[in-house]
Amino acid sequence: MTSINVLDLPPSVQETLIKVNLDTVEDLLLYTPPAIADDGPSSRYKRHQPAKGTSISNYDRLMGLTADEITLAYDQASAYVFETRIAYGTALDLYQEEDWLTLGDDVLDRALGGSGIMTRGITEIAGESAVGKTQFCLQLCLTAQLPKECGGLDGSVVWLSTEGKFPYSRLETMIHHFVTKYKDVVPDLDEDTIRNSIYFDSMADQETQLHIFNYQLPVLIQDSHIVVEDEDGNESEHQEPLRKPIKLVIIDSIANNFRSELTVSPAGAESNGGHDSFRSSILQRSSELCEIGQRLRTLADQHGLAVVCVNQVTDVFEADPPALLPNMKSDPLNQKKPALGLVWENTVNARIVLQRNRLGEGYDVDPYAAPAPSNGEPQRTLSVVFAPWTSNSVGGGRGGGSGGRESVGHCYYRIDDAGVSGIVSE
Amino acid sequence: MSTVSSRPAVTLRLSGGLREKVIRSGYGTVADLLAVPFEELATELKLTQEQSNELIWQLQGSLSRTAYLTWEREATSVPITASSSALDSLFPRGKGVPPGKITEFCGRSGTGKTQLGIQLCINTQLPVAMGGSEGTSVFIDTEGSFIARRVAQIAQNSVEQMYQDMAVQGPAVDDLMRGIHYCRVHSAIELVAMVRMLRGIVQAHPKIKLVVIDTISSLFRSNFSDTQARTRLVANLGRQLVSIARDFDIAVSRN
Repeated sequence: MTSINVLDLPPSVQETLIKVNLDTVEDLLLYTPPAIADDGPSSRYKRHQPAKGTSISNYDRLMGLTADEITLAYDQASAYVFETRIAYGTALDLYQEEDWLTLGDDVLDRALGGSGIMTRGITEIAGESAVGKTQFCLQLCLTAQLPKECGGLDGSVVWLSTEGKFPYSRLETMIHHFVTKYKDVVPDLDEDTIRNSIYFDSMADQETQLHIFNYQLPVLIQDSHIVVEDEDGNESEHQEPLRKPIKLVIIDSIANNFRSELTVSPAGAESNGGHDSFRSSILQRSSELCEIGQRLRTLADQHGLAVVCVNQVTDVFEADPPALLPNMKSDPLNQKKPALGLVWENTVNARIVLQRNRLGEGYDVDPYAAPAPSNGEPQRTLSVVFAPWTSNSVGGGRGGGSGGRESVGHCYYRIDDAGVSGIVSE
Repeated sequence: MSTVSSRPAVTLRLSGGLREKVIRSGYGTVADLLAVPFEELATELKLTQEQSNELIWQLQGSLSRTAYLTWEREATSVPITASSSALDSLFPRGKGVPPGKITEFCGRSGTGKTQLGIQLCINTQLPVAMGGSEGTSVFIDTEGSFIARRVAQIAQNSVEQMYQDMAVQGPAVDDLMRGIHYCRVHSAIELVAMVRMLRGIVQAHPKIKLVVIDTISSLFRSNFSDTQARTRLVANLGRQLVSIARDFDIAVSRN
């Protein structure tokens, strides 16, 4: 909220606006009196009825301003917001600034379209339990700390979990392999620095979750991006800031609290009432999801973050469910779709789905004759369902069945001590 | 033009003082008024700023009022191709997204709405012979799905396609990228401000022929407990966009 004091308005106009409670730039822009709604000269505004919710006397006082004065205020408020908050440039400017976050593996990166996942947006990783979602995230925690020349973001990481503890022991094994792998390219990679660059917090319930998203996370990120300046106003070089700016936020998982706390109030449990009450809690959930999504996207854009949300999957109970992936043999007992429905689908920028066939079952889940899984490991598949940066996502609207074996948007992967790596298919 | 402009100047809806000035001036018809550069007219009639605004509004309004003129304007305007003859044929003249109007594309995630928006931004810059309008575009992004690298890819393909089909060396990829004004808005308030500023931006850059908003709905999905206020805002945005599209002959597509 910004007071209208920042605008260069004649005192009388400013006074009137404050009297009718339009005392912030935001209020002014959201109010939209009828006179402003018209683009032409507003001599006709008197014919409009006051908007509902505005008391008549306030409205009259506002109308004490001439149409030009109202337009002036409105235009100035618009200009202020435009100049202070909206980044305006050309696509070329953006192209030169755009960063990508590698997965640290060529095959996986290629499947994702070349450079890994996007920054400035939300990427969702969905899949059943034990498919490797957390492994992917751990790997991103490490690669995000690589310098930009190596495909990283040269930043630190925030890990928000709704599902218990941070997988420390798993991270330990991965860090060791990671440092060994990049030792030659990035000599100053240090295990302790890596550990210290991952912030962890758990969100045990929805209330904590909202609080973290609304207050703690924005402040933490903002602080981490402040450049330390010494007394002369120069960026200090000797006094290296302890931590790099936050460049990656991982939420594991977004669905958990929403699913476990979706309650129907007992009062409305009978007959029709129960249905209504369920509906209203679904509505409530939708609006919270949208709000979290909008908040995360704004943070992501303002600070150039990559945001990764892990999502659970839910069974599909339909006679003839639409296949998640094209020409996948449909197994009526094994149909899944990411949780949280259309609302969340519209909120994320990209969706990656991980799958595996169950160990011991000879069921051929996959259409693209895969390399035989070695030593009885389950076969794991990564698919890009949609992503704004690739031309052919597997599950997208275009070219349903045409996804070739080598196509962008699809690959097999394995998980070992070092982390996740892609398998080149023959 | 002759049909409209023979309209007597007295019939313009003007306020008292202004009407008197116009009648006394001796200009009999709208055509007479339009024949003089407006600045000269304003000085000659000694109009105040307010009066000259009112007069120009009415004069412009009178121009777009007849069906004939509207038709003529539409028939000579240049649609923007969607790079697909099947898609283009869905539009009135079979040539793509029409200027002067708002076109909405809707569909689920991953169906290609953003991609289509980017493609239109590139196509706007193509020569008229290839379905473009040799203009530039504004892309208002509310979701963050505008990936510059993808834009460069599409631009590269378009340039290659142009070379193949017409043996023409098209504009450089960098120039195509420069021809897309991009802005990211994060909230409904920012969107309202942006659309308000749009008129000025379009006036300052007369080459702008296309405005893409991707997407109109995403910012209105949360934080609005007052649905009436939301409806009013959205309606108002729509109205401003329509008027910008009409006045400047710009195609607006919102996803």
